[in-house]
Amino acid sequence: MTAFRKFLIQTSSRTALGFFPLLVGTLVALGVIVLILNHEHVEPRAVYDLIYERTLSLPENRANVVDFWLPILLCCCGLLLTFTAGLWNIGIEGQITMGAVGATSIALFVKLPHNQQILTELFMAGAAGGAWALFTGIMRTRGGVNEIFGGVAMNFLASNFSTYLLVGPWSPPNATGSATVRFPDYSLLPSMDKYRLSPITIYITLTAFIFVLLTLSGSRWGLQLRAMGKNQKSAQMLGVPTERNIWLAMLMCGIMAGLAGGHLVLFRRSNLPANVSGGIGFLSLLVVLLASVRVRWVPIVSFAFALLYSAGLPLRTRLQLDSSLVGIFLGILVFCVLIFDGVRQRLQERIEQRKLLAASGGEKSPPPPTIEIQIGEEVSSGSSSN
Amino acid sequence: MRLEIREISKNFGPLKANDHISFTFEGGHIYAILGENGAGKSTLMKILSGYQAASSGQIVIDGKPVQINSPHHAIAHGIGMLYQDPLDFAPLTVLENYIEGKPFSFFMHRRDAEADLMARCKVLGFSLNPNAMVESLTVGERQQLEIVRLLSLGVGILILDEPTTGISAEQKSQLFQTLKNLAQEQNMTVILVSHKLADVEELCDEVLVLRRGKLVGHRLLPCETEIMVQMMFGKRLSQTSSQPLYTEKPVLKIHKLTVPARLFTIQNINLQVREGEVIGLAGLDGSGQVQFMRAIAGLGRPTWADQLTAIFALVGLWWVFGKVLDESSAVLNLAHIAILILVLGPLLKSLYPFIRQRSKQAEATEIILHGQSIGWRGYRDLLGRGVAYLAAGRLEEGLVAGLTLVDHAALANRSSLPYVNWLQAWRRTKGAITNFAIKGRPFSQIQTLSGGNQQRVSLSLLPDNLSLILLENPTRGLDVESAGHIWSLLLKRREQGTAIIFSSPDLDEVIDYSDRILVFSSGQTTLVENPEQMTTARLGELIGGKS
Amino acid sequence: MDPVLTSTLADMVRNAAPLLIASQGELITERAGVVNLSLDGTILLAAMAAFAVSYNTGHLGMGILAAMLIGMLVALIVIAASVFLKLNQIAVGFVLTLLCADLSTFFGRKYSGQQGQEIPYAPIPILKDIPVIGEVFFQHNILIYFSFLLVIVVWLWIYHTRFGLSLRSLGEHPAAAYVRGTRVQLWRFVYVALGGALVGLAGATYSLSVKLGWREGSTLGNGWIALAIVIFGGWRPFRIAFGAYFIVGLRALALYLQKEDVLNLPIQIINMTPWVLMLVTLIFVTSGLAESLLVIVPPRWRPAAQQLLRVKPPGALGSNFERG
Repeated sequence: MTAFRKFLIQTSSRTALGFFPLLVGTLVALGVIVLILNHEHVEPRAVYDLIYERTLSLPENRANVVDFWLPILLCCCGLLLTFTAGLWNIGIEGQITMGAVGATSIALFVKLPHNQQILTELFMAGAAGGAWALFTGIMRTRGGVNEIFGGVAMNFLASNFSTYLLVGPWSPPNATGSATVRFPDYSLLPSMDKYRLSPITIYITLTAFIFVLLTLSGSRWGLQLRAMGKNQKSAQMLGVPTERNIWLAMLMCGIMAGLAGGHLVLFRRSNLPANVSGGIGFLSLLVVLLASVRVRWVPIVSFAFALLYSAGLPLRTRLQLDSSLVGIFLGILVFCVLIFDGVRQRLQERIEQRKLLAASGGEKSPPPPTIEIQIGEEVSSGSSSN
Repeated sequence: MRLEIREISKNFGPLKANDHISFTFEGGHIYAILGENGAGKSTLMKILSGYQAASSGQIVIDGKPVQINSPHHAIAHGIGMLYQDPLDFAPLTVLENYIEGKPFSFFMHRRDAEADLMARCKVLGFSLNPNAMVESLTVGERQQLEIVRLLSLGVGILILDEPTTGISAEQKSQLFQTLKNLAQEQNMTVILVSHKLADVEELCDEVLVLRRGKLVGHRLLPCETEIMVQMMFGKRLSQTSSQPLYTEKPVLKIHKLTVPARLFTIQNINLQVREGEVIGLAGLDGSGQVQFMRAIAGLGRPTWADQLTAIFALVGLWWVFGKVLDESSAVLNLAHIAILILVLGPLLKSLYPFIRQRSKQAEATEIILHGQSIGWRGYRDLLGRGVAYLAAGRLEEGLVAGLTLVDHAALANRSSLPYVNWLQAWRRTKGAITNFAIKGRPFSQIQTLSGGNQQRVSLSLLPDNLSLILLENPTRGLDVESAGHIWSLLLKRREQGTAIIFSSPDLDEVIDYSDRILVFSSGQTTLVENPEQMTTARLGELIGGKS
Repeated sequence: MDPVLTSTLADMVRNAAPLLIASQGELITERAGVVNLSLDGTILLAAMAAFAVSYNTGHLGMGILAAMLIGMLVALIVIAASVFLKLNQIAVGFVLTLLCADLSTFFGRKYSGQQGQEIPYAPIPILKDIPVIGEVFFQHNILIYFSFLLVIVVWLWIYHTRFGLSLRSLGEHPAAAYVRGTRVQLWRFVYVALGGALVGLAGATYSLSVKLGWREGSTLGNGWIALAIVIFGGWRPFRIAFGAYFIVGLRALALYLQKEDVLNLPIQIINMTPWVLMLVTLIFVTSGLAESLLVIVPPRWRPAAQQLLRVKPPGALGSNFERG
């Protein structure tokens, strides 16, 4: 075992180690899925064929995947900001839901000229999502409620509220209460001619992504967020407005999540269904965790996730499996990547310690910092910033 | 007990932290171990107390070679260590702290343990309340508790690491008396690790000096201070002397400030600080020096801009919630109540002391900087007005581990541009490295630097032309040489008219560098106008409450 | 006493049982300095497993055992990742929450809506005849008795045994506990496993007694409530128990009001009230607002009131311990 470890340490370079967790994670997740399929007496090949058929085989299906991918990418962009600032925005599900509710409140009950209508709907979506997030942020800095618990509570509030709207005031005249009526056409986002894709959403997502990319790679605000994520108190001492930055990051994330929710109701569904977010907020959290807050990886990872996730539904009807199988696959994948990334970091630490020892003539220095997702505080709501 | 170390070596890679150290500590004697930072003192202590194993060598106690694997194991062999930062449990009671670590039994047996504790305290002359929370004790009392605890475990060799920092003169003389009694009456071996020569001369019988991992000297006391210094550093040290440089122009006026400390609330602090003046704050740990400085610097107060943003944000929330939720008045009301609590709560909290003060006194508390009242501003506002604060925990509150020196320079540079001017930041870092003699590269991460260099980086990050610098224990963990360098950098700042307020548990430091000293003692403050005529002993008495 | 009220109270004691067990389990975990965020998923998976195993084997005991093993396993993953790989406990816990929830959905789909066994009703012979109290507390099944006995046991354990003292000390200041001879990592593993087993038991209590049977996502949200109750309770057993009964009481009250048509509120709005109240209480207690209102209290009782309102997490919560 020690020989093997030595071999690993000596032969592995940084780049090779970087792909090691992803590779192993994928293999393990695939292995588990194959085992499960075996147990259920389903050919893995059939599942693969089904997924391929539903996602990549035809242009319409591909467009559908992209359409599913865009709101996820939008959420990921927001989460990149909050994660960098050391905030666990678990409340993103609720922010998506509220964004959808906000958009619906305009789409169903207001009639304006088409452009204004769309603009108002999107504004309301962003405002509602942003408000939900900002409230969580204020609860954290002023109320001392950790954003994880604040976010979870806000999630439940949002989902209960939207369900209440569906069975109560917004329920269609003679219906079951699982969705509102279809929105009138003037309320819906326009689609491209050839494929069913919304250009407005594409623009929004692209803008958000470029904004986040620029913010995190070169801006002063990005640097401030990074410092806050590593050590909020020190950042404050260095003159960073930490409280305001927390609010701003939460607000931005909430707006992006709200817009994603708006897209879901205004384009993908054309009505407000129960449980509108369908778990894409948590999916985005997984994406950002897997990409370890590296902006460039996020589009690729989120696309892969979106592809698999959107293929989940037919599993139940065609193969008597369940869409949660995809969730299991993604969960195991992210879990294994986290674990093996931990292994990689420990290995790398050893390598660097050796190098340092050799280079500095043996001066004892603290271990190099580990690249991991920082969270600002432990899960206690005892402390508040400021 | 007799403790013998034979050829102890400890290597970290090619570095020899301890290089074949051999010595015999006899029972009934009090030893001092001296050495500058990195001389190997702490490594030797860690080996003796079981934290680290030696690379080679042998430890012999009362003639029997022993293997020490853990601190607990060391105590079982009779070696007890008193750490500088007390290793106890703050939210537990004294009694619970005393019980934890005793030989195991299923129940706590509080009554027996209490009787035992009280009896032992009585013998040693300590007065500890067994039901008090440890967090409410002074450092001196926590030390006493730890000593009683170690003695009850049958420790025969007691190692003390810098025991005199942060305790009053009275507690110090009590501690020294206790240690002398223990050595004489119970044949204990006492080993003091310290860099305070005065303490060493007062307490110890013999002194050992370590330099670069080697035992370079052993003297019986009394011996001349000069000789000890020369053994420690291999050369004579020139003392950084501080000539007063202040003018009569006041920078800061503090009028009737009330500060809550851990045990007392300090009422009515009045102080006027002049340009270029150095004010030292002396007092027991937690007597309110830190709270005093933080109150001046506005830490813990939101800035004006943040308050405005908060109000703006909450109004916005109110509006959006109203718009989205207007379908259900019940939810809306709940949301509004929640928002109200969030707005009014902090507002009431910050207004309350203000109102109380107004009602009680004709004149309100005022902190005036250059003629402007700053008592309601937050730290970031004040940073722009020339007030800077350096906290004691460098990597906890001050520098961000994981960021490079250039990142820090970019962060600390207050500019309104949306992007970072990396070239400028890099140039500043380069400049700082040469001007402040920082051992480090622009792109090395901050936590890889040594403590002294980190402190230099902190100083280099402060903006120019400050009116006031507030420092908590500026030389914490630094050896004499680094400390001297930090002070020469700080004192240079006075030339621009910067006033300095600092707190330190090291009374010598306070006396050496202050133009005036503000003594904090059990809820009272006393201003000492002429520290040149002050001795450490006298200052210690003031801290202890004797006037 | 009003029989309706008595039976409502008895229902409360029954419904609060899983929350009580789970939050006491998390209390033990967090007192040891570890955050197990995966409660919500773990309870789901354990509930499903308890139902499935007892359904297939016909033994209730096997079901309970399976649930506890699952809870323990998940908790051990969290602590092992933290100790050996220095991973963030929150990140691992969060991923496990989602993963366990999905696993429960997938493997539980065959059992959804099936009729299974129930823990037998077992009133305690003499105690059950005490008026009111007997009916409220002593006419349930064994898991419910366990739930409120557990609070007392945990309290005794934490505050009155040496084990409890070292549990508190290792969550508070592991370095100091290490110096005093506590084997920090070992005990962390032990307590985290124990806490995890209790969380698993909470799941079994749901599917075998309180919410009989299995349905996809049937206990969703209760894990998060349990986590919040631990904070709300200031990491102290009796206050946590109070929190659990308080939340359940709120639900019962809301339902009662609904039934009696006193308040004409839809069920979803009522479902929101515990969350809103929890947020308001948390804000009130943790922001220091409550403490600044303490000036109303006469000075003599102020320390006691302060102690009562104190919500201070264990000093080393969520952090790693490294010796040396």
